Amino acid sequence: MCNIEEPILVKEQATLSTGKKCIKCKVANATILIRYSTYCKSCFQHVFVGKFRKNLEKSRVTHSGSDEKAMVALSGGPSSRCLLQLLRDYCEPLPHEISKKSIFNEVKICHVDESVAIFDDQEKEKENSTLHKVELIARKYNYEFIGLRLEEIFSPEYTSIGFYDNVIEVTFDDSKRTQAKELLSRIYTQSSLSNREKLKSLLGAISSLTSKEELLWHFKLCLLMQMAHVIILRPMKDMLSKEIGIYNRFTGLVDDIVVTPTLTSMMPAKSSIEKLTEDFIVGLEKDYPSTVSTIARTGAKLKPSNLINLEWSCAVCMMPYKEGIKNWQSRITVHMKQSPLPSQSPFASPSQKSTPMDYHNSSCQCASNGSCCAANNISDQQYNHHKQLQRPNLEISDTLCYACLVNMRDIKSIVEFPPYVAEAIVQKIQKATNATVTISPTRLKSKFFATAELYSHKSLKTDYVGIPDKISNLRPIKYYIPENESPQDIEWRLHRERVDQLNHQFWTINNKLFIDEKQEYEDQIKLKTGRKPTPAEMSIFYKDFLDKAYDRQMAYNKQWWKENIGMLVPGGKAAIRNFRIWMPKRLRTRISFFEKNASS
Amino acid sequence: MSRLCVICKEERASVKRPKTGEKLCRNCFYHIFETEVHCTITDNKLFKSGDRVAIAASGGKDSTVLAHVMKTLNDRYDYGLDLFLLSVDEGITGYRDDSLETVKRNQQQYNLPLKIVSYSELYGWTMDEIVKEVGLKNNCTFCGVFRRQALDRGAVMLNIDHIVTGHNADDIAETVLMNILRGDIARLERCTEICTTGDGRIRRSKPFKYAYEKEIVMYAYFKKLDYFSTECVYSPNSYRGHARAFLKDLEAIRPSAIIDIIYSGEAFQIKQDVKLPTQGAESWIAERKIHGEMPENIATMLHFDQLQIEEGSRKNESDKDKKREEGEEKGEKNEW
Repeated sequence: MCNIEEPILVKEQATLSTGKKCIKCKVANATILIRYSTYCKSCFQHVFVGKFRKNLEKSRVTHSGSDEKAMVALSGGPSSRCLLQLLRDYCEPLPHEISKKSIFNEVKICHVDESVAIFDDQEKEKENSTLHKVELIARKYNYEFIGLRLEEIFSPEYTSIGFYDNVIEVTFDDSKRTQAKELLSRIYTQSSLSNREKLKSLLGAISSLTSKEELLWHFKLCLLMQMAHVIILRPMKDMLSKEIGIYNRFTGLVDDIVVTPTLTSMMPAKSSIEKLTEDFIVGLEKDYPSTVSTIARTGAKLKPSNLINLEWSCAVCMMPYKEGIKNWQSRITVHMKQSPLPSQSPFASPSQKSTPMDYHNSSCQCASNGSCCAANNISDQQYNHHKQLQRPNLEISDTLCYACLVNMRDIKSIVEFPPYVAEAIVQKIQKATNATVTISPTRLKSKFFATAELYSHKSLKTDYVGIPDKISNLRPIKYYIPENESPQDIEWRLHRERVDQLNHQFWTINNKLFIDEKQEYEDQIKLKTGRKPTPAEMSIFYKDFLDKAYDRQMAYNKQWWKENIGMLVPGGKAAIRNFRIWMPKRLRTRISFFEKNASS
Repeated sequence: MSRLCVICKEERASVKRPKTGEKLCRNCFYHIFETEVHCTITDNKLFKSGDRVAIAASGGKDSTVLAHVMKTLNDRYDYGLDLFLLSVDEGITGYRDDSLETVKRNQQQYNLPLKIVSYSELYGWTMDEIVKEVGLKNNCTFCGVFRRQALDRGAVMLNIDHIVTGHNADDIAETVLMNILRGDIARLERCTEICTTGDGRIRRSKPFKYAYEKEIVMYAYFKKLDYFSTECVYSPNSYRGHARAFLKDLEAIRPSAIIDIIYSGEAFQIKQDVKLPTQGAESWIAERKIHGEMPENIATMLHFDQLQIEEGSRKNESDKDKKREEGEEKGEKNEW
């Protein structure tokens, strides 16, 4: 919560001139005031180091002696700098303290350079890169140094199997689907997008600083975890930043600190939740001097609720979480006009609870709450729409914890997440659906959309036209992808897919409405007259339906005309390209542009 | 250009919902607000048909809206509850006397039976007199303790099964924050519980646990409900004030922050090996039937007792008065 990485300015301690004695040795004049206690310099150092060692030994997990390895996550700031020094002193005791045995036999230092996330242009990034500065510090110690940059989170090696490189498509609500396709085409055409650019575009899509900060923190932790695979110890957790500052000053570390700017440096307190909280706690500590330590102690007394399944971990932050968040939220923040069943006894039947859940199963769209509360339609929607409805449908929201879900609301467009997130989601889908999603190392180089059945375009030899959809009555088309598909071809194929999708969507909705209303009308007539409606009566309904649907139909028609005209030029170009490639070989197996349009 | 309500897509949107930022029309806002309270009530199975439920009414916005919503939902979903209004008169001039007038008007408007219990009846002291004795410091703490007890006593008089209070999401999130800041782990664990059982059989619950204060105010404002809005004349709890200000700032950054904090409060629990503070005072509490058995409350109560002993003669008198009045009230129970 409270960011103790901020540099601290320590005023000359001579101001404490009340003539008080140190409470520990009771001889020397006190120079330091920590909370309510006064210390002299040497006693302070002794107490500080003692506290560190006690914390470290208390948090030891195994008691197997001195064969454990430790890694110091060194940002270069005052706290981690101090930690490094304390740990060195601890592991390499002075000759007269040789009786104390150390619990670590090997120490490594790891630094994650975040400058890419903080500065806009590359020049400034280089200028402010912390990697080399921190490396200079690390060289003073005889430990191995690992320097990482935050953007490396997009490299396939930072996943649990070590080479995961698949991209999974997580579709959002329908309005975002075209965007997703665009992203796909970007991935195809500019597969050379560097990790740096990927991280930038991801951060650029997040609208709030709070979510940015949290995401960066998760990425950093993930990098560190991948380097270390261990339990995290926080031996400094109950030390005040003031204590650390004073200690650093006394031991001369104060000039050896790398000041790392953060996203909220130089920003007002209300720019993010983290910053605001820091500001609040620091302010409160002034009036109530034990606030920080109280919070630390309170935190130590808490554990996750029994309702939390510790085996499930969030795909983004890797922390355990409670299931059924979505349902919980839908009850507390209602987004639609549902009529909770007016059953006889509202308190007796648990069946009532299922009302909001059915909503997700019956429709692939979801409540329009931001971009990310989406059904995880992992495969190509238009081709197996029906299967989709029958298959156990894992929602993307089921793979994220509450906090990450809240952060996702701030993402305003479709973005690419690091591969470790995709890996975690796929693993969850496997668990939930028992589907066999194989992650084969041979596919590493080509990015593709992993689907629950590994439904890949690449297996097709020619365009396929499927059986008509039960609701929309349209025949789905699966387009052939040649080996060496050119960027224009990709664009053209995606364009056609998008238009097909548009048609499919409109007719699905329209036909559903028609069927429902017709049923309703027939029932009404039956109630009134006790027989099936005559054709004359039905014609009233038809007319009525068409009148009501006029605006919708017209909007669709306009859109469809526009698309048709828009497709003329790229379609013509494509025809010419195909003509050039295929005609001389007399191997035309594709359906021509015009035939295809006629069929849809 | 005005936009259409995101829910019914028919009416013009006229309300921006504080919880989500969605733009709604008034009717949808009412409907959604009520539905959420209904969900809270049914999901937690707060009541059973035939319960006698007292609405703790102060005349303020929360309790007025609570009374209105409870009555509406009781009719709409046929809960089968007997609703009552129960008020406590602390005896604070310029604050409670005015707000009680509002409660009396509410009684007429909602056609619910009303019972007022007063500190002077129960304890022989009004809050004004107490403040005169102990000063402004800490008076809120035991006014709170007294009120809890007064509500329970009133509920016993009415033969009530269940008391509902108007605590809203902001109040609960604030309490979570405050208990973390003060390290009050015993309360930290309990403060997110929606339903607690005091001594005996009377249950207490907070149907507005997930309702935003801002939305409650909006609801009252648009529905033109008759409520009384003034701060208590005695100084508000300053520590809570800090937490409140912080929470408002958080809400400004991220509107869901309040719900998020409550969610967090529900997602952790105290480690088994942590000792909760007891102070060896359980027997004392059981004897005196004081709720809020926290050390500081006990300390305040002791302090207050001390004061009473100093004012020996007066205490004896008031004690007698109290007993007499209690006897009378028991007789009166079925009168109204």
